Amino acid sequence: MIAPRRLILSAFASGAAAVIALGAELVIADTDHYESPLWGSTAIGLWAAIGLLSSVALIALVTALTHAGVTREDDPYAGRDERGEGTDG
Amino acid sequence: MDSFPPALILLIGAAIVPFLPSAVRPWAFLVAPVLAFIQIFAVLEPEDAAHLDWLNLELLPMQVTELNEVWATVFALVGIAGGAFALHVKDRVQQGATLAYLGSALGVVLAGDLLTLITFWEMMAVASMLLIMNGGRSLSKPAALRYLFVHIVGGSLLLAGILWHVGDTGSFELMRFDESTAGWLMFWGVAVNAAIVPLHAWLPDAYPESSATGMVFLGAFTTKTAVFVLMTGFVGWDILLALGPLMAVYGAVYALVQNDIRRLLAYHIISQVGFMVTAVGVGTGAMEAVADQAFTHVLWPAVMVMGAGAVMHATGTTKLTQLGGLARPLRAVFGLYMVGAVSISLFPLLVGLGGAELFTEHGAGVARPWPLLLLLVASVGATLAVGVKLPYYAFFGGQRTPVTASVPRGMLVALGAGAALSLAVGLAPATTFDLLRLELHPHGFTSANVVFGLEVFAFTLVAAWALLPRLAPRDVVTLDTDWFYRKAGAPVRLFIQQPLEWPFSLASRIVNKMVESVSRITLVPESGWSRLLSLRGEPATVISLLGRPPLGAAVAAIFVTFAVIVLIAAVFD
Repeated sequence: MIAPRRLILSAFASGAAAVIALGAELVIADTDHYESPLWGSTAIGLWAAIGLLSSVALIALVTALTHAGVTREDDPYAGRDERGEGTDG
Repeated sequence: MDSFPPALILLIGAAIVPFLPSAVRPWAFLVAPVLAFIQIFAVLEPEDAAHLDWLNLELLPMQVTELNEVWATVFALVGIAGGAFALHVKDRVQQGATLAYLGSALGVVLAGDLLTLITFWEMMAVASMLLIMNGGRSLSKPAALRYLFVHIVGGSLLLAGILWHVGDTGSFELMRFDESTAGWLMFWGVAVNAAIVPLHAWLPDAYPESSATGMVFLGAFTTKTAVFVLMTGFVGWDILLALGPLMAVYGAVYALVQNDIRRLLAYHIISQVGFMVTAVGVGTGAMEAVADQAFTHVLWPAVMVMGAGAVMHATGTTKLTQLGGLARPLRAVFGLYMVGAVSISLFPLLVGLGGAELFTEHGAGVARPWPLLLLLVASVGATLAVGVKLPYYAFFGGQRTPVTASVPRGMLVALGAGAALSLAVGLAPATTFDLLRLELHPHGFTSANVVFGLEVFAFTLVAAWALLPRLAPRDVVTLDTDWFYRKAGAPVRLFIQQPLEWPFSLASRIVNKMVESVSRITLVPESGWSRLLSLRGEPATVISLLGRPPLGAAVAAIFVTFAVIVLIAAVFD
């Protein structure tokens, strides 16, 4: 079990890194900006938004897939594999 | 003058190593890739070749270029690391199959013509199948047979395309193919090996059933040789710009669902190959980016797969629901695994960010932002799967898995070497590639791309931390496209196999009946003749008096039959 202190530390570290990243972008915004053909790539905080929203979207998609029956608690292949095709190679 | 192909060094090793005494075999297994690496690194130069005249064909079993040298070098390096990782292995079949697999993978990437390519391609399929089959897990054998089935289909498509192409052009030359029938046949044949969605399911089905050491090699060679062939023959094909991002996101999503750490990494490999496939689709301008990606995408999955293999060796399980609390007992494995895991993310100053030029100047060639956005989402998915979910639940988590076996020193050395090379390529890519004598010119870090990487990485971690319970592993089986051929047995038997077999089985039954009757007459004449005469209604006394016919009569019957056949043949000739 991970210690609560370590959890708090990791949360603090993630938050600090996020703040530093955004702050750094604000500092360099006038002199240097990451070029990309993506829409609005010059907007401050776009990459932060993509990181955050992509994570949320992917985790939501995983949850949806689970509910859609893509994952099964019983092994639909177990019977055939165990019955007909041997075990160790 | 012709140069000696490094593939042959490994194939000779594959023929010799299995017959050596067990005490020296693991070391001999390690020496073969070392010799191959020396040949590639110190002897071969771009433009070197080996020629072969065979059946009036002028073949090039090896042709070195600046690009295929990158693949050959990283394959040999993974071969050496894998050899060190497998120093504790005594299984001679695995050792022989692995060397043959590595040798044929080198043969494919260094091939100078299509005949050499398809030959090594098929050898690679058989050798890798043997490697999976000898995985020592309960489902290794059926998984290997399914793997072979899929690769026979893929190899047949590639062969059909090659023959069609040779029929059209009369040439075995490796070239950029056009979108003709031959080109499409070859493309889908290669797509099977590249694990392009939806032809990918063989990879997460088979690789996790291999041994702890087997997957190190499997994860490095098959898909990457396919990417090399895609880059050689299909660069700039538009379909790749759709399929690449699709497989990148698909692999990332499926990796997040997995409970088995090696299946998670298998889906992660699909996702990473998606990046390379997209880069191939961008066109010839991104060839160097593909080669750069090939080097790193072989390297860091190898590090993570070795980490997972070490966990499997130490605990006997690969299920996240059974793992936890390993950060302390497997401290070194955890640290070295994390080097690979962080490298694939966009963490500043590491390899993943170095490959981000795909998002910038090469990406401009795409002219469509969708593929780039999907790749970025897939990058975030990779960080969540291999950088958060796997390490958190395997090394921390809510339980303490007992360590039942110590991790062999060879495994740790290999892991350390792989992690060190990952760091070197990330921190000083130009110097590392110069030292390896590779013609790659990676982009340096700028304040803008460091901030870009840091933002994506940090905010991914923030979201992951907030939603961590949603990533908790569950002991479930994930359905994928392999469901169609794994569940196809009954309908195939009913609608295809049985109708096709019916005329043959009928003919077989008729012939069997005739043979049975004739043999009864000739071998046991009394009963045979008796039965015939009974059917004709002869009196029982005649039947009972009938004995074995004289030998002369049997010989005469044979001659008469023969004469009749000759007569019929003469009449109809």
